[in-house]
Amino acid sequence: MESGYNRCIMKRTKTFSHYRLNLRLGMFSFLSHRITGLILIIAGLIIILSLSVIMLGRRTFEQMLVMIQLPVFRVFAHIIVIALYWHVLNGIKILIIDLFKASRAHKVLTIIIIVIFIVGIVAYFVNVYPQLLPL
Amino acid sequence: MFKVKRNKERIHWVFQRISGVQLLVCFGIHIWVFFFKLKRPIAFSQINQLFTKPEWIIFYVIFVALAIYHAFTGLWTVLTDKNPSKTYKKVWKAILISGGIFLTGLTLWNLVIIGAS
Repeated sequence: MESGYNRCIMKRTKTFSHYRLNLRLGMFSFLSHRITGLILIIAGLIIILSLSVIMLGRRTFEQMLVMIQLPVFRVFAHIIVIALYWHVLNGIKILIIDLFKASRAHKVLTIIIIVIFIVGIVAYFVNVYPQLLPL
Repeated sequence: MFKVKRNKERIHWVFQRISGVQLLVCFGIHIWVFFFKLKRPIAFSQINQLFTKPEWIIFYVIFVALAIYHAFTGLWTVLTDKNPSKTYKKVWKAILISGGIFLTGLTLWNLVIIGAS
């Protein structure tokens, strides 16, 4: 026998099942891995294609090296570093889960990598912009 | 640890993990080269000097080939997540394989030109 509450839940789940995501730690980890992966593919393509500037001559390549120092490209580099760092940490977590069949510990592992990620990113920005430190 | 059957998808799955670990090592070497070996700000002469040595060209081509393999295998997983039609899969497979070969070749060509400039 189904209670009214259960029937209501089932109806809601059926209605929203096509576009509602299960926004838990596992889904966050899965989605962020894919999004950072796509960011890295686009960044990698830009880097490989920008190397091709050498075909236009040595001087053009030198101009590109100077242009890379602009603040816009620094932001681009920071986005790559953040995406890469998260992708690497999450990838290591996936590898640990796959190799040691540790899927039951995925929540703990995700929390650990979030902590390592925050510490690493803070250390990175302190290293890049030491003037940001109040001391 | 793994029982790899003759299943292309599974072999790619295992190799994606292996290439991920290899990329980590290659990336470490890349960081060492660009942040510790070369002086800042990086000038063309330094990059040129680096790529006059064939071992660095070989290293970077392997690095890029591994990165492309890892990235495109991941992209393939994303694209075929909802089990699309065979034609869709064939078209994407052709795009990814030819794109991967083109990008690896382009990198090799560019590095050789940088070394020769």
